[in-house]
Amino acid sequence: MIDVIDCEFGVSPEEYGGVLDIPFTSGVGEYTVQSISQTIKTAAGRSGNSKVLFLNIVQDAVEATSRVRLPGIVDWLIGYPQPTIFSTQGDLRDSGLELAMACDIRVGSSSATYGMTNIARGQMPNDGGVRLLTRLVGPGIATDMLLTGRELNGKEALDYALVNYLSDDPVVKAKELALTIASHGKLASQYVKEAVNGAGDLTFEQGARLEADLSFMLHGTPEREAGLAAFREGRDPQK
Amino acid sequence: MSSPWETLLFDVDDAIATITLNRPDVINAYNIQMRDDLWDVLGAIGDMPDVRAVIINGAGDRGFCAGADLTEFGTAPSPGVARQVRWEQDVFGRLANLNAVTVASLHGHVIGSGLEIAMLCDIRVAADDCRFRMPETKYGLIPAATGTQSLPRHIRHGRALDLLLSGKMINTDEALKMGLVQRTINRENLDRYSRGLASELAALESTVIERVRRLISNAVDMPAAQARQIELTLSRSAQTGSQF
Repeated sequence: MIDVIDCEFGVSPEEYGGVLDIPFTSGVGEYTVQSISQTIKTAAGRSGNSKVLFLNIVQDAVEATSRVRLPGIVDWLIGYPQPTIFSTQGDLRDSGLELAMACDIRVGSSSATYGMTNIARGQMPNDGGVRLLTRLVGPGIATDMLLTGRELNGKEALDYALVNYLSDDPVVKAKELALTIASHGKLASQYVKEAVNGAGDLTFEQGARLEADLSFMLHGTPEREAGLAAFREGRDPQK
Repeated sequence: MSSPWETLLFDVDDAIATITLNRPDVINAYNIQMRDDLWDVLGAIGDMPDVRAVIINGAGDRGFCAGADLTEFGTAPSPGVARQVRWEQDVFGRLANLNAVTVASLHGHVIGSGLEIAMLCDIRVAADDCRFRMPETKYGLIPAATGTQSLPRHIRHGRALDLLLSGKMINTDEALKMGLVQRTINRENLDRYSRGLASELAALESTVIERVRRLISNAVDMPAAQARQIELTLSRSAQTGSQF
């Protein structure tokens, strides 16, 4: 990991349709790793109505993000209550892949490669990459990637569940997905995420209790009532 | 086949029990009556040591189960009462903990709690016409039949989040590829295939089956060293014929 303070990329958050879109672009202003982290967190804090956080890295900025660790962002993303979506057209490596793996859903390109190559430099992932990769692809493939620096092609990344979707235009696909999820219940999406994340740390019985309790907490909420009313009237809840 | 249960057909033939979700007019939607009926039938199976395998399937052409019957939602007097009933009649826990091996025989729509019921079975056989979906968040709901726990265990964390958050529909081939189902078969051969599989499973040594199923759960939920120790102990006791 190079100790970088000044970044070769920046972020410019914008909000639409319940989605907080945070594109990472190259050559945008004067940024440091600290100011980028702060910009993302501040935008999310201000955006009380957003249901989905969407990180997308434009191709020019991909290489730089693989070399730069944004302080505190991976942990912050893992704990972020609403769904998070990540997309990029380019190759994902090291810190860039850790950033992607901290999100809930990943959209990549079939022509891209995906890997944790730290080992080739005598280093190891330092932002949760070992755990995140193992949780997503399982211990067998994770061990191969982490010990040998093996990079997956797009099809392999999809087959091993490292990415959820491959697209010729990942940003368009991810945006479409973000808008779909943003049209669903905000609390429901939040609780689903909490319950699924709990599954990694709880026994099945404990997780079932958590799920049931979260389900009961939705009783009487406006979004649940609206959803049930739409069902009774035979219409789509989003219409 | 007449049935004392309003929403189910139940048949025991030799060592194999078959439970058929039987509300075909509404694609076997899971309602309160079906919960009560399943509670009874699963309890009865628990009292039948000769039953070694259970097939769960759905009546009608349209599918295995369309999910929870949302027309009944909102009828519970309070969340507290709903919670009490959920655990007094833990149908899903009873299904997951049956001693008999369970086979979900799936066709057509396998939606919401229908998919959750299938995920609680040991083996899922899917006909080639299946459509799987978890649409709860669209209606401001979340799964409540352990789907948020079973899905990440079967198809991994990232895929589970995608299915649950996006509510997307997947077909039989996609389900097989991601491990949501283990076997697929032509629709016309589904019943015969599931029956044959259940027969094979029923013929296996029951104590070994019981121990292996328990170890599979341990492998997921327990620290590795502890799970390995239990496997060693169970394996040795199986060789000596002693009970554990």
